[in-house]
Amino acid sequence: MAKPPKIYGLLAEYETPADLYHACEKVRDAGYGAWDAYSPFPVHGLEKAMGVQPSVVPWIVCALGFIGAA
Amino acid sequence: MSHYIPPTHEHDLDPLEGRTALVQGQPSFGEVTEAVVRPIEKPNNKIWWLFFLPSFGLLGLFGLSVAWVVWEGIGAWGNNVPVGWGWPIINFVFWVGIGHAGTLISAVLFLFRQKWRTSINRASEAMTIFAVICALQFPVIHVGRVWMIYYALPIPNQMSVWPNFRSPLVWDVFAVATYFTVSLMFWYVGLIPDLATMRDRAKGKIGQIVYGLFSLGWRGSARHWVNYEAAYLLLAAMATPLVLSVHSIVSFDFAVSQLPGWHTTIFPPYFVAGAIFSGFGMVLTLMVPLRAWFGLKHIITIKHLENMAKIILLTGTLVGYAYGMELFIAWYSGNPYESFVFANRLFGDYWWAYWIMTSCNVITPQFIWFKKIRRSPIALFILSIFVNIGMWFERFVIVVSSQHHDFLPSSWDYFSPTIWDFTTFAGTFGLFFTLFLLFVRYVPVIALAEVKSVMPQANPHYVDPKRAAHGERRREPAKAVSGVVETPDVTVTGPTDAPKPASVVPPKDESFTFAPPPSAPSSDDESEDNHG
Repeated sequence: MAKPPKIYGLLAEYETPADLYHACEKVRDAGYGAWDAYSPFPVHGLEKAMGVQPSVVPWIVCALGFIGAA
Repeated sequence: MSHYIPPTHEHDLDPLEGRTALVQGQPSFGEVTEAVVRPIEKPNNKIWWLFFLPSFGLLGLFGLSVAWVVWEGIGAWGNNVPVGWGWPIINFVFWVGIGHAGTLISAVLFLFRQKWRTSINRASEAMTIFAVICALQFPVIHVGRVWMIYYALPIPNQMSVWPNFRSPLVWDVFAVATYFTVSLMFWYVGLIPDLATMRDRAKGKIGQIVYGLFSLGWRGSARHWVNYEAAYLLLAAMATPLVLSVHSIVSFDFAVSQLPGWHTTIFPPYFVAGAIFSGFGMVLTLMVPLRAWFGLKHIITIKHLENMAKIILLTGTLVGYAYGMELFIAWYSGNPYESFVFANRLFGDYWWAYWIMTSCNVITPQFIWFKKIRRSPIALFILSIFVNIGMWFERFVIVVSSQHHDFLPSSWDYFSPTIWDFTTFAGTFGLFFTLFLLFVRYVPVIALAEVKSVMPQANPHYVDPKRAAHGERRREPAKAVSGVVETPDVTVTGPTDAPKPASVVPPKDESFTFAPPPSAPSSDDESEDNHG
């Protein structure tokens, strides 16, 4: 049997936000770390389906805003 | 969750909310994109030039007028003692007021979760920015020596010459400058995802580079969307007080002075209501032709126009109340100067201006009580023109009638504008429409990402009625797994933006399998689930 090609990554395309959402839940539950989901508009709740940790950007923005760097 | 199949009424209903759908005709996401970008990608150049050339000509007239006024001095305009604030200040307040509708739509309605705003916010915000640009021309030129305008700003200097911080005119500098900056930021942040869409669609090199530069490398990652939406919310929260503060401070320009007819506490709310009233008038003036010519009637629906008309009715009635209250206080205060000014407004030299103002601003909006009228685009367009005219005359009445007969009868005079007043004012319309036409030519006039996010399909709980009708309880598996990609990340792409999803070629290698890392359990399990 031929050796399967080395897989560097996978790309899947979904037609609806619902499909994307459920797929993200599965990828999250499967324990993957380095992955992302792309959509042309914000799909609400997707960050939860992906298990994304809260972003640190707001804290940086807040700190810079307070020291007048905004 | 049961399979809900939306009824096919004359108006499509939102299957999740049961209300009239914001985007009619149940288009797909891709079809919405196609409809919005068509005027940019396949423009009707004839019609565009037909509008652009006159606008650009008026802009030339504006340049000519400004050059003359700067060369000759502002005496070229009609303002002279006792009417020191003539048309320049009238036009300034007129244009700044128009801007307020855009901010109300983009910021206040956003905080109130009014989803219908998504169809009109982009163009309204553009209108705001262009109107504020037009407004700023007048005070800047009106200072006379334009090259000294930086003295309006508190810039430290050797001579310790500072602006008078107790003057509302200085507050105005801050108010309007803040307003312009925040409006521009808000508009631009909203534009980023759509500019990225334009970048991805661009065929030519220039389009790719320009849209690419301005879209700041936007890719639509879910992690980015989270930050993006937080930033957008913050900007909305910052812009919301501006809806009230900017025109309040503009009204202080008048109310803080001691002149009868200006020195009243009702001015801030009265001016804010008037500003929103005039701004929605201008939004309708722009949107009614726009939706027809660009084929966007299914995105800017009658319902959107009706909602805007209702705001015009509300704010117009508030303005009418303010007119009545001004008259009442003029009588009730027992102040002879105050009552003289109002008697003079109604029946004095400028009686015609007062009655044009009153009939346009008080009577016109009352037609909107009739459902037939507020659902008719043509009727609303005509009403909006009257609103624009009426609100310009309101500022004329306030500025001119209080000044031309002030405390000293020997100074009384009749104010007449000169030809340069007319050309400068007409010129700002050239500036406004030139900018607006360039905007509709190169930028999506509808916030694509925002409109899509309020379409029912965007909700992860939405069930496609076609699939439901076929009894498909099983979700479609991922459209394709596109083989080997040269990136270590697993990438899950969202709903496709193309009208019909391009058929993706399945991997040719028969031995290809979805091989997760050995540590992780299989993730391509597309088994039946109950979410349907």
